[in-house]
Amino acid sequence: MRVSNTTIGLGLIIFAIAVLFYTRTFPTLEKGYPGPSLFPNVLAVLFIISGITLVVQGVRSGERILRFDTSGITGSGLINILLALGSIVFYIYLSEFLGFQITSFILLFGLMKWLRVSTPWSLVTACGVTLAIYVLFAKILLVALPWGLWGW
Amino acid sequence: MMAEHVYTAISLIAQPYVLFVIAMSAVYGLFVGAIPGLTATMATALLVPITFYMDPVPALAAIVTMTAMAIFAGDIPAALVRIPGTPSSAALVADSYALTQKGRAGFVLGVNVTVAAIGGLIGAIILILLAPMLAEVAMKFTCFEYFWLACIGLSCAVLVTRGSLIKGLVSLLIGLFMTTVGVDITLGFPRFTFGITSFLTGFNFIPAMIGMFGVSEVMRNVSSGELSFSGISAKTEKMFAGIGTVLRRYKLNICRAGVVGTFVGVVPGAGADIAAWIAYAVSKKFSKEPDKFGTGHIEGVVDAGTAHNAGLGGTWVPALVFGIPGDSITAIVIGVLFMKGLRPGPMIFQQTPEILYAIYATFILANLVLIPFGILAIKAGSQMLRVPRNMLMPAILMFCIVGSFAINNTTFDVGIMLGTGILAYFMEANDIPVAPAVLGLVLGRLLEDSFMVSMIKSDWDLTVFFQRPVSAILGVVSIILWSSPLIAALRARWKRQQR
Repeated sequence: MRVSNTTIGLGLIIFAIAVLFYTRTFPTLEKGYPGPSLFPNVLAVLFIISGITLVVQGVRSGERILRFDTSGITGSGLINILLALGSIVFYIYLSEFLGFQITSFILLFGLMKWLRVSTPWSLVTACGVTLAIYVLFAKILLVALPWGLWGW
Repeated sequence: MMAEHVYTAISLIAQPYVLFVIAMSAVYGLFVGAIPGLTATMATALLVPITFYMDPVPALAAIVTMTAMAIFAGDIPAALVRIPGTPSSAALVADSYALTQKGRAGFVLGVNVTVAAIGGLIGAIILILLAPMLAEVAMKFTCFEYFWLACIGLSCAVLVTRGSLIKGLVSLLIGLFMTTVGVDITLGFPRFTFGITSFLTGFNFIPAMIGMFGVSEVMRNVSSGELSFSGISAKTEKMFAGIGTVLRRYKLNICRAGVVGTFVGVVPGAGADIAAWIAYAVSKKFSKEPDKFGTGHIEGVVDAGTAHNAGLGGTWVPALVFGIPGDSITAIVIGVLFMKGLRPGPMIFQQTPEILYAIYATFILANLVLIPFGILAIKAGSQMLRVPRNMLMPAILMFCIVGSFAINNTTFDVGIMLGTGILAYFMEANDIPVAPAVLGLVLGRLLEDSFMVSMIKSDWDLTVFFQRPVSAILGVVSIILWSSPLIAALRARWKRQQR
C-alpha cells in the first residue's frame, strides 16, 4: 500500500510529538543533565525535520495532502497478505493449546489451499514441511516447541 | 605464531561436521539465490535460528558459504528468465538475458560462475590483508573514536541510498528509535516498555531481522499473481567453451572489478548490489565498446559478476575490525557474533584469532567450491525456477515463525517478527529502504552508550570529542558527510544560476 509523502511526513511529525511529550516523564541526571530522554528526543527532532521535508516535497510536487493508494495491489493479493499475517496471529494464540504439529499442519494446509495448490499436494507438503521443521528444531536443535494439550 | 593460527583454523574447518554444514549451506544458498523474490539477506535471517545452536566456527562458515552461493545463484534467473534472483544480479540482467536469447545461456552462466569465484577470492584476499592492518589502528580507539565511527557508518548507510535521501534518513531513524526501547544505560530506566517485561532487554534482534527480511518477503510474494516460471527452454550446455578467451581478454576488467567491488563493500550500507552497479558503470566508462552494453555484451557481465561476489569480502572488513556492518548481511552477522559471546572489533584479532582465520579459510573454501556447486545449480536452474511459489511461501512463513520462536522459546518474539515484517513491507512499498534501519538497529546502542559514557566522564564537555587527533579527524569526516547533501544542493543551484 502506497501513501503520499505528505501522509508519511505528517505521520512522522505526530509520532515525534508524542515521543517528545512521553519523554517528559523520564527522569534526569544530577545537575539537571538529560539522561534517558536525550537520545529519543534527538531522534524525535530529526523525525520532525524529516517529516517537514517530506511534507514540503509532497506539497511542491502537487500531490494530494492525504493519499492512500492501493492500486498496486489486487483484492486477492491483499487477502493473501491478510491471511499470511492472520496465520502468524493464529500461531501466537493457538500453538500453546494445539501444539506445534497440529498448528503447523493447519496453517500450511490452509494457506496452500487458499493459494490454489491441489488438495493432494497441499496434504503431502503440509505434512512434509511440518515433519521437517519438527525434526530439525525439536529433535536436532532440541528447541522446546509447543506441545499442546495432547502432548505432541 | 601466524602459522599456528592458520593451522588451527584449517583444523577447525576440516572437521566432518563443519564440512557438512558448509555443503548444506551451499545447497541452501544456491536454492534461495536462484528463486527470484528471495534474497540472500532473507536467507541469512532464516539461517540464524539454526546457527544459534552451533559453535561460532560452523555458524560463521554457514553464513559465509551461503551468501557466496546465493549472490552467484542470483545470476541464474537473470540469464534464464530476465529476473535477478537477488538484487545483486540486477546490473547484469540485460546483457545476460540478451545472450540467452542468442542461444548462449550456457556460455553466460559459465562466465558468471567463474568470475563470481574469482571475484570472491579477490575479496577474500583483500579482507585477509586489510583487516589486520586496520585492526592495528583500531586498537588505539576509545569511546570517542567509536562514537564517530558509528556516526560515519550510519551516515554512509543513508548517503549510499538509492532514491530519496530523506527516506533513507527516515529509515535510519526508525532503526535507531527501535534501540531506545528497553533499559537505558545512564539510570537503568525502562524506556517505551509500557509495562511489558519482555521489552526490558529491548527489541530482540533476530526476530526483528526475520520479520524485516522474511515476513515482508512472503507478503510481497503472496501479493503478486506470479506463482512460478514455466516453459524455460534455455540450453545450458557447453558452459566453459570459450571461457579461457573471455578470461584472457578481460583479465584487467576482472582485477579492477574485484578491487572496486571489495572497496565498495567496505563502505557501510553499500553491499554486493551497489558494488555490481558501480563496477558495471566503471566497465562501461572504460570499455572500447560502450555502445554494446545492454545488448548482450559479455564485458559488463564479467565486471558486475566479479564485483558482486568480491563485495561480500569487503563487507566483512568494517564488521570485523570496527563492529560496523558493511551491509544488511553483516549486520545480522554482528548479531550472531554477539550471541556467541564475541564482540566484533579489534580485540577479536587478539582474543580469538583462530575464529578470524577460520572465517578467512571459509571465504577461500566457499569460493573454490562455488564452481562445482555452481555448475550443479546451473544444471538444475530450470527445475529450481519451476518450484511453485504458492507452495514455497507458506513453508517459508512457517520457518520464519518457528525460527523466531526458537531463540527465546516465546511467542512474544513471534509478535516482534510480525510487527517488524509489516513495518518493512510498508517501508519498501513506499520506497523507504530497509537497510539503513537494520544498520541503525545494530549500531544504535553503540552510538548512544558511547556518547552518554563520554559525556558523563567529561562532565558534559562536548569538546572531548575533538581533543584526540584521530577522534578529531573522524569528527571532521562525519561533519563533512552530514553537510555533503547540502553542499551538493547548493552547488547544483549555483550551476543552474550560472547558466
